Amino acid sequence: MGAKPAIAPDEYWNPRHETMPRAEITAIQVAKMRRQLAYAWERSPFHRRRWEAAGFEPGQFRSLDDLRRIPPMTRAEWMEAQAAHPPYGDLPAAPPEVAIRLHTTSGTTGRMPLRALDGMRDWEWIAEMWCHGFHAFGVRPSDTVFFAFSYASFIGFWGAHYACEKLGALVIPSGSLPTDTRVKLIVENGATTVCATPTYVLRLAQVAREMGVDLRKAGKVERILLSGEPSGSVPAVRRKIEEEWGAPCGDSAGMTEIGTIMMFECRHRPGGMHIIEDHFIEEVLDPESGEPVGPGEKGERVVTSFGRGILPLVRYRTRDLVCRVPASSCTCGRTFDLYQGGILGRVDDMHKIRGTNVYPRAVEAIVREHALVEEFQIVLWREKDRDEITVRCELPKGSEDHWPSIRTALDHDLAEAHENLRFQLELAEPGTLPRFELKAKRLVDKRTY
Amino acid sequence: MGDRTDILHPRDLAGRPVDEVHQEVAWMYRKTKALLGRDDLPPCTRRNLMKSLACLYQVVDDAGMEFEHLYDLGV
Repeated sequence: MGAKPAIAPDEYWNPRHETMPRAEITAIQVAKMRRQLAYAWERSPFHRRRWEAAGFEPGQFRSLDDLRRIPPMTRAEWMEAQAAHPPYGDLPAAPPEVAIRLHTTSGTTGRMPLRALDGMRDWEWIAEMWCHGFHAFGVRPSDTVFFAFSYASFIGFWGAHYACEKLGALVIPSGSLPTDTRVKLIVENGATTVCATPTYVLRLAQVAREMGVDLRKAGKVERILLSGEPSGSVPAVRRKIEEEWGAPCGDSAGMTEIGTIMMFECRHRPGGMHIIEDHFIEEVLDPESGEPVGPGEKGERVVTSFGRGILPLVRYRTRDLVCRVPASSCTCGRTFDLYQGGILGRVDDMHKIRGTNVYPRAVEAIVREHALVEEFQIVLWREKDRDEITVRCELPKGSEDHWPSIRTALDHDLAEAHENLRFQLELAEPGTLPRFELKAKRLVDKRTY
Repeated sequence: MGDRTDILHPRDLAGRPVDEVHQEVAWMYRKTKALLGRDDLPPCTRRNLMKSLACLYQVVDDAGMEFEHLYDLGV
């Protein structure tokens, strides 16, 4: 939308670091990494155990070339540690007493969620990372920012809310309000910025249309801040959002495991997101070999965070597919490299539905608790710009009377394991769902953009 | 500002010079940490100093001057 802007006097949240030469970025990263490794070695049994098994100790780390000496950690290992040492596992490097907040993720294998504890310093840092994104896309103290977010156990936009308060903007939270009420609040309060998932931003626009509200004329929205779904960087989705709202949208990407965003799109909109390189080390590796891929090549993100300290993440395999390009790809003057096109997909089979991670294996673990369910199928589809998920279940002929009670249990259990995401449930006629001899393909994705 | 003989914090973690403003912030940060080491603070003083320290930490971290965790101080 329009020509590239000139660099403004207040372009950067942290001018010194966002424009520092590569050698200085590297020096900061190495200095932080040495301290983080020593800290985790002393205080996190999880890390020490794994590093000792790999023959690594922190003194071996002298430069970024030594990263490969450190065994990457996986979500599965984290979950195993949590299962072995409930409720928090042995990754935490500080006792739970210092935490001021607990957030959880949706379960992946089985129903166990990851439990994330954060202290005061962590929460200030979480907000600080979001400040990078909001400031870079033009949010200032004079803005009114509307959050269409349910403020529950999913960490989501909690940090973004605090960031906007820190920035000095007027924040409008909307909790669990219905969509039409949210539309009214956006218009009546003259919100200049709306923050939500891409799916929900489109849902807001759809409801506004049904209410006879033309958001391009009735509201004062100047920008849309997106996060939570890869589609925030999909050009067709962005075009649709911008047409509906008459305002540019900027993407950001974070992870519950990190608690905040680690990349953001600036207002120069280069088609990608800048990595916050003084707070993270982002590597891109071949997911099979574990070897680094070159600039411009697609690979798996592996992240080390210098934020959270109760849960120090060191070389965490994200399973996100990305393509890293140099900072010079953008005209904003930042020296932070970018991920072109944002998060391009997943190495594994995770699916994001309205901002919530859905893993077929987790769904199966729940469905399979009902022995009467002979076969099932997961169908992803779109209803007027809104992602939906249906689980179709097949019972043996003559068992249909059991469906109401199974349906009630599934409805509860699936939602509970997926941050209250609402699943639609259907009873399929006996013998109608496909059967498989080798690898089952029970997920059907009918979504098109 | 009291005794600031320890204000000098001339280099950051990357060895770059640090400006006067951030040297002052670093002094405030260290002073706040030291205050939190006392055991005679009333709750209102302690908890607000802890919040302040969490915020000051962001400044010295963003300036590349400090990188540490503060859980031993409850922050």
